[in-house]
Amino acid sequence: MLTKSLVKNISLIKEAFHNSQDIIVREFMSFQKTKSALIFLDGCVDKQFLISGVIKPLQETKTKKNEKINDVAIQKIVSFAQVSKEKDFNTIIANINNGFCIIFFDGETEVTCVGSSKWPIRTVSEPPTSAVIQGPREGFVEDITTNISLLRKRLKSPHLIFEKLEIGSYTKTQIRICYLNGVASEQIVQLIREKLSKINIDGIIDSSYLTSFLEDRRHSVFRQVGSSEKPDIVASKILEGRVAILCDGSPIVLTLPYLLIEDFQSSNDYYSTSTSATFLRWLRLFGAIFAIMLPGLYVSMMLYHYKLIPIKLLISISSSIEGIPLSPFLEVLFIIFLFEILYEASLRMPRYLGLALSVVGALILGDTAVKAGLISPPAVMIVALTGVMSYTVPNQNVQISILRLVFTILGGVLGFYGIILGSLFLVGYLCGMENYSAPYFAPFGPYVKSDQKDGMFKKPITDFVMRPQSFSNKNKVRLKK
Amino acid sequence: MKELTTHQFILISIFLLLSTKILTFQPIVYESAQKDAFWSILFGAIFDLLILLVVCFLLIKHKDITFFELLNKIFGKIVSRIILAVMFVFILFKVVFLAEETFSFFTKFLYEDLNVWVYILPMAFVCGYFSIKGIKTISRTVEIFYFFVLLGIILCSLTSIDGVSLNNILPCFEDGMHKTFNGMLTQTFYRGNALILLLFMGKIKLSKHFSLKFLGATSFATILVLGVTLVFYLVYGPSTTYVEFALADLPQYNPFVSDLGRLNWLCVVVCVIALILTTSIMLYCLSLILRWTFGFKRSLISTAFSEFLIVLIAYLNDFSIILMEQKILSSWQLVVGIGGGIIFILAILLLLLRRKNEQSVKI
Repeated sequence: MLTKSLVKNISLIKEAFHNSQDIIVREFMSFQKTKSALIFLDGCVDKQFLISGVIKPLQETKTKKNEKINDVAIQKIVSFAQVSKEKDFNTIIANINNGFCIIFFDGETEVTCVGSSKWPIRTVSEPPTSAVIQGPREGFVEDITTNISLLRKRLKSPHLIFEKLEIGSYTKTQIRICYLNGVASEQIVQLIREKLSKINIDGIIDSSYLTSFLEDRRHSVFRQVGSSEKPDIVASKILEGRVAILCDGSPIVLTLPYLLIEDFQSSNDYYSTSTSATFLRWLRLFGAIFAIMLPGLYVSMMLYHYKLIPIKLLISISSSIEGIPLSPFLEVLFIIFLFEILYEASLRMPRYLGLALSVVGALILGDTAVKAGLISPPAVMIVALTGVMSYTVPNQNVQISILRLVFTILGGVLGFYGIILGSLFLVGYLCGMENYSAPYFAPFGPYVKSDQKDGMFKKPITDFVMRPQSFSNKNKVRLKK
Repeated sequence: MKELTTHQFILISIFLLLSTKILTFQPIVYESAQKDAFWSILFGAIFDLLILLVVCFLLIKHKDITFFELLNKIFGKIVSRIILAVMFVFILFKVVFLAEETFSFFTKFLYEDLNVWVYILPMAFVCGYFSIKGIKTISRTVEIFYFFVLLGIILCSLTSIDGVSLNNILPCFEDGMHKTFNGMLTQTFYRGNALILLLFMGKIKLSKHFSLKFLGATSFATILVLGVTLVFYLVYGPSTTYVEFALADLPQYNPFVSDLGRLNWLCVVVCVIALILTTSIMLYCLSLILRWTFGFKRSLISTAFSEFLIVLIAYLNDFSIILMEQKILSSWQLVVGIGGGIIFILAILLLLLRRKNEQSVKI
């Protein structure tokens, strides 16, 4: 509770921050007669603005009789900035944490809060994970205000809603639920709102922290929340009726509901011809299927169904694996583990060392192991090939790696039968998943005819008359002809 | 709750009508009908189409109540449970047969030596998973695979056309009609899959022109079976006796197909997918009947119990398709096939009769 004494109020604030050294108190005379103090966190405010826009006008202005000091401060002096009167002590503390500058006047129990935050932020640049050949190159940054403006720039509509939330007892992370009113389903928005407001955690460091709370199946290997670093992608998803979740401190914006097909769609598809987009989508699909199945198929063929391999190829493979101490199953497992370890190590190492390590791993280790007769060239080639193929769907890379391992084990233990059973189970599992009442495997399982135009066959944008039907949304018509 | 779209229901119908009639069906009928086997199957198909007509009528007429509710309404609790019990046995033996058919199919085409438990446990896991997840998941999976299954069946049949000879089925009815009739009796067990579709009553979102779409699609499935049958008999003729699996063996010994490569493997994949999905659909139906009859709340219990019964019967039968075939052709055929069929037809007739009486009372 604030008092009328400036000294007491200052000590109250200092106590609240446990006399932290970065709490700056600058005392001065305002309105030429009133003792005042500015309190802010060092490094979090625009000091230049404080001097020219706050201190100087306050020192130079005179008040008339019966005028309330805080009102004068708000209306006449700092009216161009984000400014408000505040009485509540907790709100004042929260405002200081958010980079506000607080003006205390002697004899007043109210303070003036001035939005003067200036956090160190990265400039808008092309995200390294979502580079495009054509199309916008802007990417989200860690600052939520910049991210909001990037979305506003693309969706200039009063129907674009940003609902504010604060999560994390220590981090007080700013979260925004963003959607188009009249397009997004109210039930979905309400569900997201409920799930987020129930979170009672000490801190949210990145938007990824939120995904576990938003997912329906928390132990599933498949991701159930979409994410993007590009405002053009998020804007297009909002236009489809999806809901975006922005998190302060994270350049990754989450989108819901999320369907598996989204990972086979790239922003490039919408900036190129529909034929090339269709071709590339099929390429991605085959890439993903082969990345998952090929090692398992190879193992099962070598162990159980060698009749399936054309005779010339069989002779060639047989001569290559002659003298290899490991069975094809163990050999492939060994190479997969080696590949994954090299991949993980190269990610964690310093950039230049990582490059060197990948060269050592790929060329020297692989070549030496083959020459030493530990592993065979066909197995190395298959694992390396599937490793590359898994990047045709970069967002599902980890999932593909896990599934590749599972299918290799199935192929090694049960042969073709295991692979067929595994495939059926996998498809069944994906078909059974629902994400915010949206079938995860739509528009294929269930078959949604109208959404096929943006499925594996991408049609021109002129055919996108309706919004996607695979998930719930309102205002179905997108294109009026 | 409406769990199925018309599209999904139609695909399930196609799977149920197709999958049980592409492997052992044709060789078995040939044993009793010989050269007239095709005509025997053709007449049998007409019987299946008649059942489909009745099923279609009932599905449209009672689109908002389940089959169990309808039976309860018409016959009361006890009789409806008896009808469901007959249906349970009818489907149970079909699933056992399917499981054994798949096992012998594997041992012939995929593995030289396959332990039966290595086969049955993963199969039970996957089919059980589908059954527990419900018809929504099964129907969506069917939507993914149906195209490949149909394409595979058509491709395997078409590529074998090169080896056909009309002399293999002509002249027909050389020794009168008794062989054709014998062949029709042999089919009893394979027929009547359309009755299973009644269990989906009240769960389908009926679209416009439902009857047209449903009857069109199921007729297509019947024609496809007839097509496979015709090509198979025309290719193999008298040597059909030595062939175990119709569709899978079709491309295997055909010189034209051999030149193309390993097309029979495509067929193996298609058959396995079709058989496993059909087994899952039937297992779901068994679980559904148990839930209706005994009021099980969790599908896990009813599925586990159904699976236990299937494995037990298959075990007592030594997991042998040959033994199963013999039983089907003898006592089981009578009990399961004809008995079930007759009771069902009687039930439908009673239903229609009662409706007629109600209408006359109102007048």
